[in-house]
Amino acid sequence: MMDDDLDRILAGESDVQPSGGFPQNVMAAVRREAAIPPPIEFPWRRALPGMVAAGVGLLALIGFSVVAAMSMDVSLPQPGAGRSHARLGLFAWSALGCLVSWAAVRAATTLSERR
Amino acid sequence: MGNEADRLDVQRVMAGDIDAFAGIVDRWQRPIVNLAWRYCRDRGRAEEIAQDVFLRAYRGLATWRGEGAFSTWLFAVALNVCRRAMQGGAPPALPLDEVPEPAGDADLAADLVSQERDRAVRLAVLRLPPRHRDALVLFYFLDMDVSRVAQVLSVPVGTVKARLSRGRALLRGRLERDAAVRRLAEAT
Repeated sequence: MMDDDLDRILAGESDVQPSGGFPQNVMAAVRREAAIPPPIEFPWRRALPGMVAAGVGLLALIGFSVVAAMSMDVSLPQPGAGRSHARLGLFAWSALGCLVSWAAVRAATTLSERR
Repeated sequence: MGNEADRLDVQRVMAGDIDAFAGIVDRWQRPIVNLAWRYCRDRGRAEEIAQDVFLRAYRGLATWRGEGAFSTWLFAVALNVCRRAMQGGAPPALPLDEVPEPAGDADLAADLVSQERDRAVRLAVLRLPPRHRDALVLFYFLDMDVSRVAQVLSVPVGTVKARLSRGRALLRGRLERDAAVRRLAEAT
């Protein structure tokens, strides 16, 4: 088949006509669409400080972990020695975790009450 | 076609006058329904797709920056909707009631053979790779010139020419292969 034949066949097809009610159907769908309230946007202005704080906290935690790992004494501990020090560290971490949880809950409650 | 009218209607819709969108629908319903029909070959389905096109256009009116013709943007939206609608589906078959009746004074058998061949060619376009298919559909079926096709597809004019040329070559190859297979089947 030659290019001319292809051109003739492809270009020679007649158009179809939309049905009479097509514009009305489209406009009905558009009006339904317009009646839907716009979606609530994500509250970036409120969320941003928290996200920044969380990022900074995470970086600080990573930095602290790296420093702690580098300065860790890898020699075996003497029996009984340093036990009170370890307990103190465990308590400090638990307290920090509780504090962060409380702050997160408090911040979320305050923000939701403001809305 | 009515670029200034389109621009005014878009401004009115953006200002809250939803009814102004009816002007856009009236002006572009025929080419958009035709575009959809070239992809699915089913009138009911084509109108569903075309309605989806207009809805998406309505939702995205704010993204039309007014730099080019509104119709170019609308056809780009339509092409995306048609591609998505056709994804995963088998290429359509032309229903018998869509085949035009042969002319009364012409030779009936020759007319039927000719119609069958034309139908096979048009359906073969839909089995081409999307980049070639889209260029051929816009150029031949929607009667756009090469520069307009390039604007709708957001590619350079040279790329459109290459896709049209390659598309025609692929189409010819496939049709010849189909014909050879048919001859072989008839011979055995």
